[in-house]
Amino acid sequence: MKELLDQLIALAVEKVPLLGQAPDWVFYLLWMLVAGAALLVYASLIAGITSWVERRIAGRMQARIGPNRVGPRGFFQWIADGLKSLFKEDVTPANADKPLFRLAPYLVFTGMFGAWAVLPYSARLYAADLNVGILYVMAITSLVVIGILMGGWASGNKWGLFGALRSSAQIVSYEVPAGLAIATAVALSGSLSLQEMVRAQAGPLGILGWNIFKSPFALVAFFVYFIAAVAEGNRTPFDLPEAESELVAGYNTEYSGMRFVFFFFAEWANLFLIGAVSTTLFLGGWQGPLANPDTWWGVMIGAGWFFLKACFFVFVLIWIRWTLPRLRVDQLMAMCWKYLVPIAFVCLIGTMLWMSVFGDRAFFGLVAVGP
Amino acid sequence: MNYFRNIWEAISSIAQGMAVTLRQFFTKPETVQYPEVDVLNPRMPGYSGHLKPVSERFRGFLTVDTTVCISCNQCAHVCPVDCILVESEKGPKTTVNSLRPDGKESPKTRYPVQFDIHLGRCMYCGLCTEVCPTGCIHFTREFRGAAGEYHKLIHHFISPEEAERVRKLAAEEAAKPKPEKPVATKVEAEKE
Repeated sequence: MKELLDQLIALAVEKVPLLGQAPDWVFYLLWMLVAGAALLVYASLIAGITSWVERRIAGRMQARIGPNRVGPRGFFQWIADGLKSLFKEDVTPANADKPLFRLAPYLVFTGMFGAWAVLPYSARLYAADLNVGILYVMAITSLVVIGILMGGWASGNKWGLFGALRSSAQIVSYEVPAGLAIATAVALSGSLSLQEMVRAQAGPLGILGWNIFKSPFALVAFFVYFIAAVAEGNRTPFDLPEAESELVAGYNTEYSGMRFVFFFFAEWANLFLIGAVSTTLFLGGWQGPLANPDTWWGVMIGAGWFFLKACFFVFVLIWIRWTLPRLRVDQLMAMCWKYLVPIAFVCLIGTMLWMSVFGDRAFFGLVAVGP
Repeated sequence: MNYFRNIWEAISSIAQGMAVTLRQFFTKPETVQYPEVDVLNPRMPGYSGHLKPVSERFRGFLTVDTTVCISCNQCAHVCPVDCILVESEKGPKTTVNSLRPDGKESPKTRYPVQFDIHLGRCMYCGLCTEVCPTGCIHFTREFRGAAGEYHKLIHHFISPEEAERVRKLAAEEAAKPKPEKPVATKVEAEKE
């Protein structure tokens, strides 16, 4: 991205010599703003459309139709809902801790949206390629739990506090198996940078190099990561923080209007984020047939593969949500500490042993592949 | 061992559940988009679920064919909730054919001048339709009858003009000289 930017700056300075007097940081700042705005629009579109897709899929899975009144097949339902929330009164409860109450949705939103900056949308299509990319994703999505805890506490409402406490317990617990499963993928790819991880998954047909095919342990680690990511995103069947039947709406009970939308925006944007990170770590990111990081059309096909894979995960997440019932709190904790954590450890150690025996470029350790 | 069985049961039951929802996902929704889909039409165009249209013998609102009604008042008598009100005048003697399939003839001397059915009270028991000798009171399949005011639930089957016409006819009939009566009795006597 920086090379492209430098070329653009050189071009601009060549065309308009007056621009040469401006310091470099002006261009970089402008570029950051443009990239940020583009990402924000992209994330908003994805989150909004996902809300409609989720309701349509939920309807079909329950033999209903789902929203179909606003626009063709109800496609503009999400715009209508967003506008409605925008015009609703934004109530702050009398006994709320007002500054924290107002701040919390933005923390949740920032935590979720910050991770989008490093996602490898395609070979040369990303906002930033941090050399600690996956660590950054884990770190910044941890802001979400702070925002949720802050919102639940500041509401001055027992349901909010219960939801927030459950959420923090859940996210803190599930960070462990998620981290271990990510470590498995990192070990296989040999890098923390998301771009590098995807590049390390090149293979025949663009498919056989994926991390899940590199060792049976990685396949299990993928499922561990996926389950942990669902739990961290507070999605059903792990939606205890907002369990409607127990806690009214959990941590966002007292929120209304635009702030409520921020929470929900984060939830739906998170669907795509889970899909994107799972894809990057285990399913080869933008790797796929015809994807080629060296030609512009190869890059575009790669972007298509990445989007398709992430959307598949979004579908699976919605599918799971409308299938499985909610876990009890003790079941949730038992699942994490008794099952996922040991399995994740076995996966990590198993992958390491596998790699020391078969090497890291092997397809199931039997067929040597790769450059 | 329990540990691994738990894992296996979790995986297999989740797979089972997800198979069910996926199958549902690819079947057509059952929802009838009511005002758009004509539920009275037996084929229900535009609908592809399993739900049936309104039955052929569905008991909707009562209706009366007042030209066939002989004002026998049996329906009003039999009605358990008193939702039928019939007022009639004596008029010229005619015969009417029953609306039932047998099409039996009945003599008609009384003409209704008021026939009201209070649909707010009607409980759709169908007793009136059973006792009616001419089948003139019968169920329709119509069920859309929301009214903004209570009195609009009372359906009037005879317009004031029609009532006026019948009254005039009845008055003319009453004004006619009596000789007709002996004629009628003579005819009956001859028959006997």
